[in-house]
Amino acid sequence: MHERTRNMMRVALFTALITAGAFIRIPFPLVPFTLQFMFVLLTGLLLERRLALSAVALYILMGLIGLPVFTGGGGPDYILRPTFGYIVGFAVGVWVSGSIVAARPAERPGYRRLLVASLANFLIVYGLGLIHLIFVTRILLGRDTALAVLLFQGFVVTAPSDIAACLALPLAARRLYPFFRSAPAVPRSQSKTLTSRTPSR
Amino acid sequence: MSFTIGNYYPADSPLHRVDPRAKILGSLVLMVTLFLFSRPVAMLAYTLFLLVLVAVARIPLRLVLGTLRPILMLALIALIANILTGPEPWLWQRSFLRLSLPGLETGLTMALRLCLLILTTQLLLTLTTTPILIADGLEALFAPFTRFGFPAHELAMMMSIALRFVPTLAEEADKIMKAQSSRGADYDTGGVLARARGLISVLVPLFVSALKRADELATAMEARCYRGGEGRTKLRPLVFRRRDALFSLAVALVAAFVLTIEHLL
Repeated sequence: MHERTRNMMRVALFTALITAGAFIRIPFPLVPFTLQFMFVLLTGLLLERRLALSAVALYILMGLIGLPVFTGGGGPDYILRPTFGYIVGFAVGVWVSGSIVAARPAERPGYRRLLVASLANFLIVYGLGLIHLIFVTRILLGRDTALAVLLFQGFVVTAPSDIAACLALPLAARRLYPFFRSAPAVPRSQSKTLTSRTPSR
Repeated sequence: MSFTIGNYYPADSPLHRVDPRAKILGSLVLMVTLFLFSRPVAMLAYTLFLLVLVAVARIPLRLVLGTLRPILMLALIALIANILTGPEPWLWQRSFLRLSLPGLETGLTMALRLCLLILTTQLLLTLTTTPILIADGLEALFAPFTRFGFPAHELAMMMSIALRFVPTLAEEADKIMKAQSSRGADYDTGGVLARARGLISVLVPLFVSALKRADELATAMEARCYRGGEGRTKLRPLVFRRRDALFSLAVALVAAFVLTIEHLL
């Protein structure tokens, strides 16, 4: 299997996963939240940073040209919607967290390194998200909107569950890491036929 | 759990059949145009054009307007903020509460522009074009850049595959969640920590499965001699017909007309 095809398919499948994450809702104290941020975090921790960035970039591109992958649909006008900054933050976030994880390529990253990577991702997503939110409402739509309302909507409501995700996900990432950094897994369907028909391989 | 993403409205209308390349470029042109005018007459003319498009597309108006729902709140906030903080003269005044007339004007323009922007792209792309066609159109539009190393084919391929697998992966997530809760995992009651643990028991198998699927797909594609976009043919190649030329012309005319109203009349 060529690496190029394999990488393409990995990017495509993780783009699909990130997209699906926006549509899966989990009830949580105060506000239900979607799995999307968790999927993005974990993708950033596990995929090579080049592939992770490609997956998120593909997601953004698909949404912008009108494919219905964002929570509110898609289309070029999404740039002007208040939540677009968070989505851009995903792209920068996975690149940075991927870089942190890969900083010492020889060793398997421990909980602390993964935690730092997740928190960096979190800060970038929320930082860019809030900047864009303020930019859109203030500059594009005219006058000031009460900053407190914005901060509440864009941060206070969703941040706690996302911080909880940052604390918990490194545990999952540690268990998943070997799968992602070894030779490609033997396909399930193929492994059955191979063992039954050609036992010598 | 089965769901369809997006709001493509299947119908057999002239607008549905327009070449996706023309629609993508057309919506870009119209989006830029939308930022170049603000006079009420021009806005009205543009709105009429959109109504004609809705009629041509044979989509219920209610459905089209429904796509505005996510943005309605934002438009309303913009309007109110502008009215409350705009300059003199006042429309109405009592102690500290003053409603600004110019503020009302800017607010209305902003809100209306935002709505028109969304209606345009929804109408030209999301509602009337299947995702696969959009991906195909994009591949064709980017094809000239392939010689500079731009991966046009790969992008379109990954888009189609990603779209194809969104429902599959969502279903799988749902299945795994049910399976794990039958084993005692807990994500809708209990403390935050218990829920996080429950979610990890979902994420681990889900990610392994996505990775395996990706590698299986790559193997399957190469077993069928997939080797990139070069020389690959299509079952339904995009053909630019007269209808598409007419559509492009109409878009150009509307843009020119609206800008003329804005600046000359």
